Amino acid sequence: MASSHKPGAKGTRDAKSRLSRRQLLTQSAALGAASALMAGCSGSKAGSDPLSDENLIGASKLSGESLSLDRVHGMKLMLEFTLKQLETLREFDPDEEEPLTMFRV
Amino acid sequence: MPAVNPCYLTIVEAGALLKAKRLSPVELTRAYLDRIDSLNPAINAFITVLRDEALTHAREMEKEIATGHYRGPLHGIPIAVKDIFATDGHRTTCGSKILKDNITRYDATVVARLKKAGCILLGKLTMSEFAFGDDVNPLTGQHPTRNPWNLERSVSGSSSGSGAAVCASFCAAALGTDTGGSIRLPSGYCGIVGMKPTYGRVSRYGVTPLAWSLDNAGPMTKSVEDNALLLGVIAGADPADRMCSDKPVQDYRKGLRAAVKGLRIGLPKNYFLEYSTGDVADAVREAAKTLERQGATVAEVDLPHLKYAVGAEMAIIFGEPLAYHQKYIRQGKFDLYTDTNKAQWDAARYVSAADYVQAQRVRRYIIRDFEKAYEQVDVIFAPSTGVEANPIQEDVLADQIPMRQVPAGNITLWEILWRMPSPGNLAGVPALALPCGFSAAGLPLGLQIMGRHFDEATVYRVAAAYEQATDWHTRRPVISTKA
Repeated sequence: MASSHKPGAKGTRDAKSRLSRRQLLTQSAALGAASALMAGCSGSKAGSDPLSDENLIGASKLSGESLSLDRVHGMKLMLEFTLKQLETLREFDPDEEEPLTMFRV
Repeated sequence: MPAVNPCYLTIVEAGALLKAKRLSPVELTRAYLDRIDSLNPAINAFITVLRDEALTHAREMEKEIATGHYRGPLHGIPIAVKDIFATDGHRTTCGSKILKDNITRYDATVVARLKKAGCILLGKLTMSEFAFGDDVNPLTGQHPTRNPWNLERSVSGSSSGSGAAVCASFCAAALGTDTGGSIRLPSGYCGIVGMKPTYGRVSRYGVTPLAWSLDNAGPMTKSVEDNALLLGVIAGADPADRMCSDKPVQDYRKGLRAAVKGLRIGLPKNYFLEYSTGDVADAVREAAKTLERQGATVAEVDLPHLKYAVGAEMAIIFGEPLAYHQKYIRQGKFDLYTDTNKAQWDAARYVSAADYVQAQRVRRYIIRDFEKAYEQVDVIFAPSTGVEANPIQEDVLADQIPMRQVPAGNITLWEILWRMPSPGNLAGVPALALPCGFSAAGLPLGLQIMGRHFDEATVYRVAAAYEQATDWHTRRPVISTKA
């Protein structure tokens, strides 16, 4: 894949005025999660804990299936473990690399 | 009949006797079936035993040998396959109630190749549901598959029946699949030899997918040579699997007796050993020293992007299966899944598309790390499981995740069991599990040998040299049938 930057163009903008890719990724992920939770929740009390039952039920609606309280309780431990692993992945700050799509070595 | 129990023979040993007509395929098949009858109730490794069909096929194979039509070293060898491989005319349940009556009308490519080589199919083996969930026999609800070394210990998964059946000598070899360690974890827990080949080396046609971009099929055996023999038969181009490589298949047995002098072994600086229990880490280091004494060199290697490996594996192995299983969920079959899979499909809903894409990007960096490392070394040693087989009750989804104390700290058993195999799946490199010792509790400890893409031959060569220098592979469990 061709780079999205012209060779040599990187770093020509004012470094102080731009956000790093990591900041952008983190902020956009936070925004996405927040809007998903807000859209899925009717009450205002749900906002404090993203893993509250209410928030998780609300967010599940956006994924195509509204989870029952039992199902939320059944998967919470698994979700917490997964999110902990994803935290590290979300720090990944690649320079320029396209994803593997057809993984054939 | 040979003096020893024929069920204990390796494929190579049994094959020589079959060829010489000192052992017949019918005798060998009957010996395995009798052993399954007497000991499988304690182990629970089979979902389906094909007694009549196996004996009929054995008679055909015997007749062929008698009339001079010898197919090769797998002629008359009884095997079994994980119940994720389609077999013509049998149930293929994937260990799930959802598919308990699913009769497949064709053979997976690898099953067809083994049959053509003369193998006799003894049956279909237990597995974690859809290669991911709880280990349940969908017909009996019997739970779980037990480790032949200690019936209160786990076999791990997802190729649980394959690991247990080979370890318990219920078959000469088995096939498993590996998306995040499902061949190497049960091989490590059971002290057998299991190969996750290079991604694309073995066809997955007729194998129910778990995560398309990580799935592999591979052999599980009693010895390195048996494993090399089996891979040589099942590997190779298959137009029915678009990801299957058309690179020529090497003769993996050819270099097995070659010396390892001058061969370079890498021990990763980071990621693996400090997240394994002390006995496992010591056994892996000792394995490297064993080959160093034979003239190999040992050097540390750096794989810096592995710090993202578990997160990347989770993003992919949650995202891709949820997409596949949407069809069953939409059909209202959610309640038929095991509790673990219910939790996994539901938790997967909170993994974002960006997480999935980042995971697939991380893979390129991890592949590059391996390629750089392989400029300095020929193979990389790591633990296959990082821990001895855990108590069975720790496999059940409970309120707390079981913990283990390792040099890196007090961490979850789940993380250790994802951590050790994931790099092999993400990078797509060949990775072989084999025994490298026993714990104080008498349970096998596992070594993992990883190689360059499509260089299974070097992995086998190193593994064979280690196997010949040690006797771990000669030990067999004594299976107690007492309740």
